[in-house]
Amino acid sequence: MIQRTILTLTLFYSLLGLAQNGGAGMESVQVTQKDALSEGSGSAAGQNLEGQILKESEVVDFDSVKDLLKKDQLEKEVSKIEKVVKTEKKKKVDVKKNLYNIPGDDEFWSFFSEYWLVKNAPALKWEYQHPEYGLEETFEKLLEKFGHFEKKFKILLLNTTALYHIALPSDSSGVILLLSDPFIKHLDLSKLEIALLMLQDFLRERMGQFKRKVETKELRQEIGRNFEGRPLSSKIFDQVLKNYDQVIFNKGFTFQEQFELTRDMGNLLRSETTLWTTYVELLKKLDGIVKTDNKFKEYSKIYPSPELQINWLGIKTGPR
Amino acid sequence: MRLLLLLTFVLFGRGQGAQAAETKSVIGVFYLKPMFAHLHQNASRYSSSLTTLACGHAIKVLQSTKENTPPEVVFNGSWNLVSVGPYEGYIRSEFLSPTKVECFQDKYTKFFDIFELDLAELYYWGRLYDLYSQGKSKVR
Repeated sequence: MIQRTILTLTLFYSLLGLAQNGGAGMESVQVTQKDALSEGSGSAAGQNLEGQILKESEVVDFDSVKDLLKKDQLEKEVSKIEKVVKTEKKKKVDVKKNLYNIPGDDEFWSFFSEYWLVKNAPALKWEYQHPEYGLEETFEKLLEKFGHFEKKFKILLLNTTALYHIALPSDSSGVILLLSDPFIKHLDLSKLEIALLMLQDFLRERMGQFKRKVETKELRQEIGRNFEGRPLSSKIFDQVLKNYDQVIFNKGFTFQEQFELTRDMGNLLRSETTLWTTYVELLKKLDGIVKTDNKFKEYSKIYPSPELQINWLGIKTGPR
Repeated sequence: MRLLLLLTFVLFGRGQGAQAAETKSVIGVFYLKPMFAHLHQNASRYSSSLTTLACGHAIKVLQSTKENTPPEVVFNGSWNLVSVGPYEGYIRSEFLSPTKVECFQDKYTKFFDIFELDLAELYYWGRLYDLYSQGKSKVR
């Protein structure tokens, strides 16, 4: 009898909602339990009760009072509470673990391309005041014309010729387009010519030519994973930064890659007379500048080569 | 001479009056969407930066009311007058969200910490969003 009273008392403290009027008295233990439980989980008292039960359930050994609980038809309630406790504990563990998540492909590349731009801000000279060329509308129309719907793009003008033009990977629906302002001014490019140059860069990025060159095996293994409980070396990312530099400033793209891209551009534009003519004119301008201006001779090293591109398109070149 | 004095008083008086007539009131609290952004002195992307803000920062958007003119919320086409801590300045409207946003640096806390960005890099990251010209092709 004494044991039963002690157990009931333990229960009393476990089911705390009853204690709203803490001095309700020992004689009303059973009644109070019923009342508190029947108040419903929606009420503040109900929430308070559940919260307290969670806390207390960590110290009460429910196995020792199993029979009593069964008798009092509280077994279901206890199992419900145990489930809630388990879920809450798991949530806490998950939150802590998620802090160590490494972004997946989409978020990683948009972050990392911007990180590279930030790291190279002084060299790329993109922080300067420039005129509004209004290229967005022309490029949007071009994308839509060739079925690239709902594609986001960010254009960043650079006040240098250290980089001529390139598309950096971003998320799956977006791209970051870099354009050298002195380069497009020197070539005296029209809006449509610039848009075609950006379309070419956009397609190159979609073909994965850039990503394939900068991505390392180590990075591929880490993208989208979790590194809780193990170190994640910053060297992996330093290497990818170096690879960006290598591709953008030194190595550029191969003849094969350039051929595949030119072929795709040709297939896309051939039936659109104005665009086709403009694209060919653009390539001729590029070919001309590469051959005549020492400032731009590096262009062919990055993008081999405008002359070959013209040939691949089947255009006969003559003296300009 | 008398005319000059009179003119000075009139101009001075108008200046004082115009200052006194402008009232600003908070129309709502918004949250910063980009990873970093600048609070500008004027409604222009080339205007001086007052401070760099991080994604998720709470920003009070103000409405400016001057005597005999309709209240203004948007300035120079796409800027909002805002108040952040001790600063009052302008921020691009497209950077503001009326609801809380999920920020990269909060979602990937430990990963983001690896890069140990310094103050200059935070500044540049904010400038990047100032200087991008952004677009999006239409839905099919």
